[in-house]
Amino acid sequence: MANGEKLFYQDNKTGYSLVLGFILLNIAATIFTLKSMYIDYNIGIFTLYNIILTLLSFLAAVKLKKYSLNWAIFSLVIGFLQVIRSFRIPELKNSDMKQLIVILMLSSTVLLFLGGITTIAKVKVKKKYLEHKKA
Amino acid sequence: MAGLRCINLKKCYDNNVVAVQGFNLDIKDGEFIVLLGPSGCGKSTALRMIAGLEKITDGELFIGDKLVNTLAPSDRDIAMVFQNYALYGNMTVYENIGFSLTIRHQDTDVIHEKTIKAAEVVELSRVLNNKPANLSGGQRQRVALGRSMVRDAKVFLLDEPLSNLDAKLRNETRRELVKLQRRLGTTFIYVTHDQVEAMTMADRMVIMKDGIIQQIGTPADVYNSPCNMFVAGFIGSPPTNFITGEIKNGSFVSKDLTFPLIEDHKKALSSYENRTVIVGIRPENIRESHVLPVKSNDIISINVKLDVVELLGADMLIHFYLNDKMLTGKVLSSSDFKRDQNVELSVFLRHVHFFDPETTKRIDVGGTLCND
Repeated sequence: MANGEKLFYQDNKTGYSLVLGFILLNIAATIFTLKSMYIDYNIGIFTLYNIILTLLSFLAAVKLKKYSLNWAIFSLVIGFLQVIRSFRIPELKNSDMKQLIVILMLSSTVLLFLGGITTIAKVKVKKKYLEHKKA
Repeated sequence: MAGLRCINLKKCYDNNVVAVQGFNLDIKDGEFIVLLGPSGCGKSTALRMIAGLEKITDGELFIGDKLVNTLAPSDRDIAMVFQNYALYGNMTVYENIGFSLTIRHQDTDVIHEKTIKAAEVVELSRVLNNKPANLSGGQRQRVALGRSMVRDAKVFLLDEPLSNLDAKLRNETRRELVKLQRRLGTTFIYVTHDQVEAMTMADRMVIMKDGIIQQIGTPADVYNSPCNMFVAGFIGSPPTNFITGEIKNGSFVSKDLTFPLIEDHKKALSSYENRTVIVGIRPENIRESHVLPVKSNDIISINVKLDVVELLGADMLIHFYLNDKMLTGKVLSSSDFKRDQNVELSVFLRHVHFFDPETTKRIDVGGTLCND
């Protein structure tokens, strides 16, 4: 139960850092995509989507820091969306950039999944500790 | 854990104000030392020099066997507790205690282990997830102590840590601190201007005035054998009564009070015949006559008219004039003395001290001056 006790007092810095990592890689992917996109209405939708995604994922990072199970599951959902996105990249002026953007997006997804999964595991350990403490 | 040696420490500020000088102190490992003195006497400056927060102008400071004059505070292996606790309001008790380890990037398991252990010692295990705003003054003080403890410091420095607490809590925390120091076995250096704190907590106390050490000794030594008039007046509440007079034919003679010297005092004052001396009489050595079991050569009686009477509970302070000199005595409250009442009081001569008026030092039994 020593680990559970530790989690009771310490923040989930691993989950927090991993989701922050996701945000950084996603921003990098966004910048490279915007640089190579044709200027049409898609660029607005793409930008708006990424702003919302960044805000939500930051909120998820903060919630994961405090061991929120719901937000951990939500971060996995965002991860799935990111996987789908990585295969539906808009048409680019410079097709050489596509590979880099896909790598960045998939890497960011890995970080997000790791953040979500480790948090879910930690929440379980913490829950067990609290039940044990209550008993 | 380590002892500490201060050799001729001096602190002189840029404006040539000398805050501390000739500060010589040898502190043994595990000792509880209290620096005591009035405001502005240099006790906090001395502590800050030991901590490394003030640059030492002159002298040498050793922690253990290591000269630390030029070492940064963080490298001196000391922990300091401030009067205002200096806790982080946005952090929980747990985070506050473990903070010094967190900023050193220690492993989270190590941080957890040490924090939990420290919290158990300072009895804060139940409030580890609370923020400082939700703690009492005593608990906040213990958080500050816990934060110092996790670093395994060699020396703990405490700068008036109980000043912000109310009287009841101060008494409790005082006892807790003494118990904690014994449990840890670490050297504590504690600064205060409260003589009760100093007397009750110290293994040895250092009395300071104007940046100079006046006396170093155990509380009993300092109380029973004050080195000079300042110490005699500063230690003890209410302060010692001083009367100036002369030694004539084996008696102390003054316009206020005259009494024959007891044998020990005669020997000590043999070289002061026909010379001026100052006698110091503690209020607790002026008692009501009717409670004394037997008449003795060590006791004289005086008849006085009480000017002010202060009831303290079990005791009563009485203020009265002997000619023009106002003196204070301490009697049992059961004496039921009243203002303007004529009473007979007894003075215990065995406990009076004589001081040289030029040097203000106490005249020892051998007739020499106290040189502590």
